[in-house]
Amino acid sequence: MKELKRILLVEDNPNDIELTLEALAEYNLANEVVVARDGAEALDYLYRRGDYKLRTEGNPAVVLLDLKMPRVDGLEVLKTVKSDESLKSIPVVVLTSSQEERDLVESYRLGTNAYVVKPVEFKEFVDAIKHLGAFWAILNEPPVGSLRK
Amino acid sequence: MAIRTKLALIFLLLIILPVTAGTILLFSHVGDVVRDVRLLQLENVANLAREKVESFFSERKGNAELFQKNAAVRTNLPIVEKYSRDRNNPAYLNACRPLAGYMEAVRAAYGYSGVMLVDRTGKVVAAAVKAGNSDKVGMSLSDFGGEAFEAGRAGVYFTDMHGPDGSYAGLLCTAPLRGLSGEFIGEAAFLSDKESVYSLVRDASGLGVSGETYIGMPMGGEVQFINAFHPDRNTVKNKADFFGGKLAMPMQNALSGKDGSGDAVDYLGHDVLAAWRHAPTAGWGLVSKIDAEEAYSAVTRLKAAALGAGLVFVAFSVAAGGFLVRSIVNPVRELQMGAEIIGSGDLDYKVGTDKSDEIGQLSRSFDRMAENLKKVTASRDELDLEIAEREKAEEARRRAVEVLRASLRISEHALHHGLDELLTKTLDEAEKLTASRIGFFHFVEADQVTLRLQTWSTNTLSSMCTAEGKGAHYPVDKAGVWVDAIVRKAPVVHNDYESLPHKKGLPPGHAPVVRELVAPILRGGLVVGVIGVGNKAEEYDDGDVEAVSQLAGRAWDVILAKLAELELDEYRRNLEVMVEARTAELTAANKELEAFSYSVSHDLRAPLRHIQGFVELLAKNAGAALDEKGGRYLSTISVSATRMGELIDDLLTFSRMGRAEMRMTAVDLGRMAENVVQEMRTDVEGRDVRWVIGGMPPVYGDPSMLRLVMVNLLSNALKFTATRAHASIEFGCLPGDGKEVTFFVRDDGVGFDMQYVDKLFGVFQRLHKSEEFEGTGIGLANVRRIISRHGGRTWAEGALGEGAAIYFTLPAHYEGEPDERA
Repeated sequence: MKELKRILLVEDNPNDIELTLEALAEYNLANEVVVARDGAEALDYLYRRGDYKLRTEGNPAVVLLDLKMPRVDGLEVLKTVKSDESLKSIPVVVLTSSQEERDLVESYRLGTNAYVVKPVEFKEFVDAIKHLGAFWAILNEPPVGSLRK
Repeated sequence: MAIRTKLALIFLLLIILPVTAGTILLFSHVGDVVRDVRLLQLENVANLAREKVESFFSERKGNAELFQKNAAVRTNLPIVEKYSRDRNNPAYLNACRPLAGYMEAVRAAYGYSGVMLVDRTGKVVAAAVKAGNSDKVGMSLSDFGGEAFEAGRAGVYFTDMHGPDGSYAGLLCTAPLRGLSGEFIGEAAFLSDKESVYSLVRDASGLGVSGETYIGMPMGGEVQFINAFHPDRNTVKNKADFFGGKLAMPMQNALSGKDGSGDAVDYLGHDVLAAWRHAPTAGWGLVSKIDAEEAYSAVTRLKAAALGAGLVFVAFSVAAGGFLVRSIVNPVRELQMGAEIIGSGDLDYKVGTDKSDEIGQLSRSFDRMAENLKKVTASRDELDLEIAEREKAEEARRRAVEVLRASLRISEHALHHGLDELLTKTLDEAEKLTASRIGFFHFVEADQVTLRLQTWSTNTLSSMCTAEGKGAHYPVDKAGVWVDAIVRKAPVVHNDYESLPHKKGLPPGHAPVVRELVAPILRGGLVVGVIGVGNKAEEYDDGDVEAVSQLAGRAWDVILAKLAELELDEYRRNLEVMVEARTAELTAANKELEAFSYSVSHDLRAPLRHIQGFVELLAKNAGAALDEKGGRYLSTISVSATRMGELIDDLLTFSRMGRAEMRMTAVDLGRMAENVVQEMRTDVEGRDVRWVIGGMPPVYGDPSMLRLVMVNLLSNALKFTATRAHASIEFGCLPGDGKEVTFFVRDDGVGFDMQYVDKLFGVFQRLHKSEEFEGTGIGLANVRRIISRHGGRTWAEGALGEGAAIYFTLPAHYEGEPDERA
């Protein structure tokens, strides 16, 4: 079995964090998840600064990114990641409640690798998260420089 | 060349020269004819004379022969000779008797002056003589016959006319007589006196005075000329004197034996016409002549007469020609002078003559013409007057046109300029129209006493030091003399401003006024404005007044329009501010709405998801602890949350439909419907549904929105026919007007009650229980919203249990509109 790769979950809503982690737990991926509670924290993690100054080197295998967040929102994070040479290779999956077309368009314009609307049905939500985790953390071969366990 | 000279030349060439030439020709010919006639006449006379001479001599010869043959003569002559000395002898007497009778008979019959018998010695023995003449018996023949006796022995002999001594004039003819035995017995002698010879040439009838006939008798070396009329001319000429010379050439020719006629010189040395004949028996020459002078005298006279007549003719012709020329030229000249006088303008002048010839007619025609010309001139004067009037009218029209053009320029000016520029432009145009140097414009208030100086013309401003007083209000009694125009409500012209008694001084810096024209602008009986121009180089006239008045009137309309426009601009500006404010409000509202939608989308769904999530987790983790009731509650919470999520999604969609940008193109709804039906395949499984989709024209619309319409309508139809064993759903269109197309989706489902038709298209309005038919009730609301945004209408027809039909219209697709179907 392949090594599990680290997942960065950027989400401000604790309910969503809990439900997401619950879903990922189904594949035993929960332990591999680093949760950033907003965009600023996410960037701190990626740039190894602030609270994450001392973390080990390496990029996450995937970033699950909510859009609507306090301080620095998801689109800003996406924009920063995709315009930084050292970060742009990190797969980013926008995971949001928004079905607004403009969010979808803007996200892809900024270079997101996937855009997933959180289903209202819990079962569907769990399925979606499970599939995402399985794909990005297990199946997908991350780019060189990804953080390994 | 003057007409006079021409006429004279024509006259000379056509009349005088031909007549003269003809006359000369004629007379030269007449001369020839007269000569020929004369010569013929002379020849006739000469011939006649020769005949007479010839017959004279043959008569003499005949008589001699009578005697020679006469037996009595031959018998008795010797007897008479024998008894000549014895005349009383009866024998002598017997012998003499028959002789005497015979001789006298011959003498009388032939007109001899004497007939004699001569004996052998030449002595007259018997004689018969003309009464009065002496008896010749006893005389010797040689006494008056010279050699006649001797010559008469041989044969018949004629002597000359004159005796040897010239003592008498007569002609003696002697002839020998022979006796019965043939012996010479004597001679017969016939004596003709000169008269009988003259009588031979006496006939000169028709020869005139100088005409005569000569006999030329040769006498040895001489020629004796005998003339019957002019005995004094009976002369003798020595042959040698004139033979060989020109003198008496006719006689020379005649004596030479020639006959002829022609011009000659006679023996007298006269020029004559002559005919000459030779008389062979006598050897004489005969010449008939007439003096050339007399012969041609008729011609000469005729010539003289003709010359005279000619001269008279020429003189008359010249006189007549002169008269004719004068009669033609003088009237012509009078006509010419008359024409010049008339031409110089005196149309009352009369060339007129009472002559009846062409010139006279011409002159009268000329007078008539002059008279007509006078009339024409008179009518021309009228015409001039008319033309002057027309020119005046034309001038007025021209000025009117100028005014119109100026008005047009003012109107154009008004399009892009403010009120002041418009007024200045009006004044500039008024100045230009009247060639003025200054111009001013005042508004007059409705009280008719308050003035407001509005502006001056460009030129006035440039010539004035200050532009003070602009826009200032001041009463009429403070204004200059020009306010007369307001008081009188009529244009005022002061061509001599200086002399005006009531003029007031001009303010300092004001342009000096020489003359002025001030026109009021009247509206509704009140003066609303005053336009004034001044300082034209000449005096202002009625045309200027009219032009300024008209221009002022027209300009006022433009000014009013400009004022209205300014007012309207003000309103517009206010309106724009209002619109901007309103738009800002709307934009803000829209943004709020968007933010609201966004929040709903984001924030409203999240709690729902959380409710669901945790209900699920609760069921999973604590499900066993719950009783059946608790489990049903959890289930209800979950279903309600789900339902709420659907409602929120529908609301968001509905909201989006109202705001989303439309991408218009040609849309084939039929094909779109077929695709939708194809996608709904799974929903129809196990059902008996008949789809009827007719061909239909393309429409113009947003494909994604219209697709939503088709999905809504077709799924509705499918939904409300679900209770039917056999369903029939039809999508088609009605025949339209080409501008829009009316579509319908008809089903034979449960239908609806028409009394609730108004609720059909409302948001979340349902006509059926949610337990009967699923759905949020927003589908037809979306349809109506989309169709409305396309400019179409929606309506429904149906009856409970009998199916429903939803109608909607869409604009037809025109050529030229975008068509992305291809």
